[in-house]
Amino acid sequence: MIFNSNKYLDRYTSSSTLAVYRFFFGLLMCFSLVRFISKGWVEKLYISPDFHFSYYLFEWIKPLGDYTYILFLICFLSSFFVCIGFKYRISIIVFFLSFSYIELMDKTTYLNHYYFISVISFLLIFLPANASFSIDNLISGKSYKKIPQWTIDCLKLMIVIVYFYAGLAKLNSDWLFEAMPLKIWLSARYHFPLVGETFFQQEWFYYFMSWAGVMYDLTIPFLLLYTRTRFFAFVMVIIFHLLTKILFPIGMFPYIMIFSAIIFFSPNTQDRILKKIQSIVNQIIKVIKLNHKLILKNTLKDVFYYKNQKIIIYCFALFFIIQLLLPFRYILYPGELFWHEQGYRFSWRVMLTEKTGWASFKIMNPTDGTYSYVDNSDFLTPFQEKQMSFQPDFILEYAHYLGDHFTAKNNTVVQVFVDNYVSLNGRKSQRLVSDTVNLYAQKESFKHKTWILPLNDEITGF
Amino acid sequence: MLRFLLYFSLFFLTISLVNSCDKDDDNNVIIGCVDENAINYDPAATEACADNCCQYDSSDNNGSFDRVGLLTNWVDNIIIPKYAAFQNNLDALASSINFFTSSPDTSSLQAVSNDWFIAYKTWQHLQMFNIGLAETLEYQEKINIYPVDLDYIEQYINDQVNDVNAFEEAVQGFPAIDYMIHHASESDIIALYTSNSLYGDYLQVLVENMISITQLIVQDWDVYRDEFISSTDNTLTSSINMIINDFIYYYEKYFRDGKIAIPAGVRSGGIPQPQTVEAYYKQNVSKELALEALVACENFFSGKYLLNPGVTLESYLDYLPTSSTNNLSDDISLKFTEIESGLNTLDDNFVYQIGLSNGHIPMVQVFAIMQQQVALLKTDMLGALQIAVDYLDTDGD
Repeated sequence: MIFNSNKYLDRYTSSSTLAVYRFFFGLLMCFSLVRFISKGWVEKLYISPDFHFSYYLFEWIKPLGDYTYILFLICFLSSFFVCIGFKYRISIIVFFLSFSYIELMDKTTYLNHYYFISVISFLLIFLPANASFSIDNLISGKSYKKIPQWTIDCLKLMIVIVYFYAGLAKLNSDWLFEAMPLKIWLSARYHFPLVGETFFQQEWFYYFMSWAGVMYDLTIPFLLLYTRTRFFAFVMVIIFHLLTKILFPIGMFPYIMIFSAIIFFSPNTQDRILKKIQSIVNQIIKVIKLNHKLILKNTLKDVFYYKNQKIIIYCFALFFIIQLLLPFRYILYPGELFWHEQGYRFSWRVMLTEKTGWASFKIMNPTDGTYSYVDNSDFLTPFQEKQMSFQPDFILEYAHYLGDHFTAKNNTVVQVFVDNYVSLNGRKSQRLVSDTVNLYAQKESFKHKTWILPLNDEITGF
Repeated sequence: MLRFLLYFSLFFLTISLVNSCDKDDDNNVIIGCVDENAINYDPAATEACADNCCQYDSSDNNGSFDRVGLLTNWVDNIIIPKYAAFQNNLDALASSINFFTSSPDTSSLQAVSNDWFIAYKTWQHLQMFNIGLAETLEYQEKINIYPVDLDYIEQYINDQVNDVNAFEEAVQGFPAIDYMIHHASESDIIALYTSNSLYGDYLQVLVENMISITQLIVQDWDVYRDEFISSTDNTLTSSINMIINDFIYYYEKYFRDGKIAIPAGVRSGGIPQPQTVEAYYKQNVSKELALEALVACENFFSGKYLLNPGVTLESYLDYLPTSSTNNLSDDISLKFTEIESGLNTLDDNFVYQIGLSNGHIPMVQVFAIMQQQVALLKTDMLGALQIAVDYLDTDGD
C-alpha cells in the first residue's frame, strides 16, 4: 500500500475521541494540581527555598513568592475550563503557559511526566478538542461530528514515542544484564506484604521485571495501535502502571498514562465512553437540581475544517522531527550519558538510574590561600541538596551561587571547588566533578563540560 | 482485574518454586564452597570455588536479614547498658559535687573533675541516639551544648535558678560544669566556692537537672524499646531508617564539625576558633573525648569494641546486594581506622594544637579523612540501604 498523504489528510473520524481525551486530560490536571497544592509542595518546593535551580536559558523563570499560589490557581482554573471545554483555545494556551512556567521554575523537580504534560498541552492548542461535548458548543450553537484523523493520530504518535523511547533507553547493559537499578529498588522494598521478603529478594525476579519492563515499553504502543490486541494491551497498561504506582513514589503519572491510552480505542468505543460521561454529568446536574440538562442537540455541523491546515501540518512535522531527534542529542557528548547526564533530560529516560551523591564545597580565598567549607543546609533544602549532589549542571549552578554569595561577603573574588562523590546503579562511589577545577570560573553552556571526570566503567547500549 | 492479579501472583509463585527446586547434579567435578562455616557450604564439592564465592550470613537462613535483631542489638547492647552506666556516673558526680560544695578543697575538687570526665566519656556513646523522647526533649542540647554562654551562666547563678533544662541558652550540661570547675586555677576555684555559696548551688542544680532529664529518657526506653525494635520497614518514619539518619547527622554535625571542623576554622574562613573546642576549660581532654566518640561510632557500625558485636550495620551491608559486592563495610571500617590514626597525630589538647603556628592544619587533615567517610556513608551506604533523606516525600519518575 502506498501512503498517500493528501488522501490521509482528508480522512475524518469521530470528534468524540478528542472530546474524551480533552475531558480526561483536564480532569486529571485538576486532580494533579489540587493534590500538589494540598500536599504543601508549593510552599515547600517553590516559596520557602532561598535559591532555585534554573534551566539553562530559562534563568529568568523564577517562583513568584506568595504569588506562586495565584499561578497555581490560574493553572487549575485553565485545566478545569479545558475539561469542560469552556473558551477552549484560550484555556489550553493559558494552561500550557502556566504549567510550563511552573515546571521551569526549579529543575530540582524535573520529571519526565511533567514534560509530557507540557508537550501534550502544546499539541492540544492546535487541535479541535472542543469540536463536541464542550461548553463552547452550547455558546456558539455549533458542534462537529467529525474531525480530521491526523488530529488524533498526532497524539497517538506522541504516546508511541514516549513508550518506545523509554524502552530503547532500557536497552543497556546495566538494565538487561545487571538488572540495575531494579535490583536495588525491589530488594529495598522488603516490607511489602507477601512479596517483600519473597519475590523482592530473588535474583531471578529482578531480571524478570527488568526484561518484562523493557518488553512492555517497546511493544505496548504497537499492541495498542492494532485492533485485535488493543483490549489485551489496555489491560496490560492498567496492570503495569498500577504496579509501578504501588512500587514507586511516582504520583499521578500512572493515571495519566492509563487515561492517555484510551485515545487508541475505536471511534465507536469513544462515542460510547462519551455517552457514559454525558449521563454521569447529567446525573450530577440532576443531583444539584439545576433545571438545565446537558443535551448536545445543538446545530450539528458535520465536519470540522481547518482554515490553515497546511501550516499546522508543517509545524507539527517539524515538531515531531525534533521530538524524534532530541533524545539522541547525547551522542554529541563524549563519555557515559548516565554518568554525566548531558542530554539526559527531555528524552523519556524513566527509572533508568539509581544515583546517590554527596558534594561538599570549598570556598577558597586565592590571595592568601585560606579556605572554608560550606554547610549545604544553609542554602539548600534536603531535596535540592540530594538532586544537586549527582548532577553536574546543578553543581555548577550552585557553585556560582556560592561564589557570588562569598565574593560579596568576603569582598574578594573567591574560588569554588567541590569534593563530590557519586554512586551509579550500585557501583562504588567515585568522583563525578574534578576537585581541582575552580567551578566559579566555569560557564554553563551546551558544550561538553570538561571538568566532569569519566566513569570508571562502561555501560553499553542506547 | 482482581482475578487477573491473582493469576499473576500464582504464576510468580510457581516460577519461584520451580526455581528453588532446580538443581543441577550430574557433574563429575563439583565446584562449590568448601568452608563449613559458610551458608552455601556444599558437602559434595570436590573443588573449591573462586575466592569470594562462599557466603557468610549472620541473618537467618530464609534469605532475609534479621532487622529486628539489628535494632535489638543497638538497644540492648549499647543504648540501655550505656544509659545505666551513665546514670551511675551522674550519681557519682552528684555525690562528689555535694561533698565538694560542703567542703571545698583540692582533693574534693579533683574528685568532681574526675567524675565529670568519666560521665562525659560515657555520654559520647549516647549523644548519637537522638530518637524518641531524647529528640522531643532536645536532650543532647541540654547535656552537651558548647561553647557556653558565660554572661547567662553568671546571671543564672545570681538569680538562683533551679531548673536549667528550661533554658535555651548554653548554660547547662557538661560544658557548664566544665566552666564552673575549670575556668580558673584550683586555688581560685576553691576560694570562689568558699566565699560564694551560690556557685555551689548552681553546680548542684546542673547535675540534678542532668540526672532528672536522663531519668525520664531511661524510663521512656522501657516502654519505647518494643516499638523501636519492631519498626523495621523501609519508610521515612521507621526506627531503622531514623536511627541510621540520626547516626549520620550526629557524625557530620557533632563528631566531625563539633569536635574538629569548627575549632579548626573549617567553617569560618580558615580562622581557628579555640573557644569552640569541646571541654574548653579543662583543655587537655579534647582528644580523648574525640577518640571516645570514634569508639562509639565504630560500635554503632560494627560493634567493634563490644564484647558481643551481635547483628550489626556492618553485617547488614555485607548482606545487601550492592554493598556486599563492593566490600563497602571494609572500606568504612578502614576509614574509621584512618580517622583514629589521624586523631592520634594531634595534641591531647586541641586548644593548644590550634594555638600552634599552622597548628590547625593537621586538624583540617583529620577533617578531610572524616569527609571521605561522609562520602562513603551518604553515597554508598545510604544508596545500598535505599534510605531516603529525612522528610523527602516528593514524586519521582
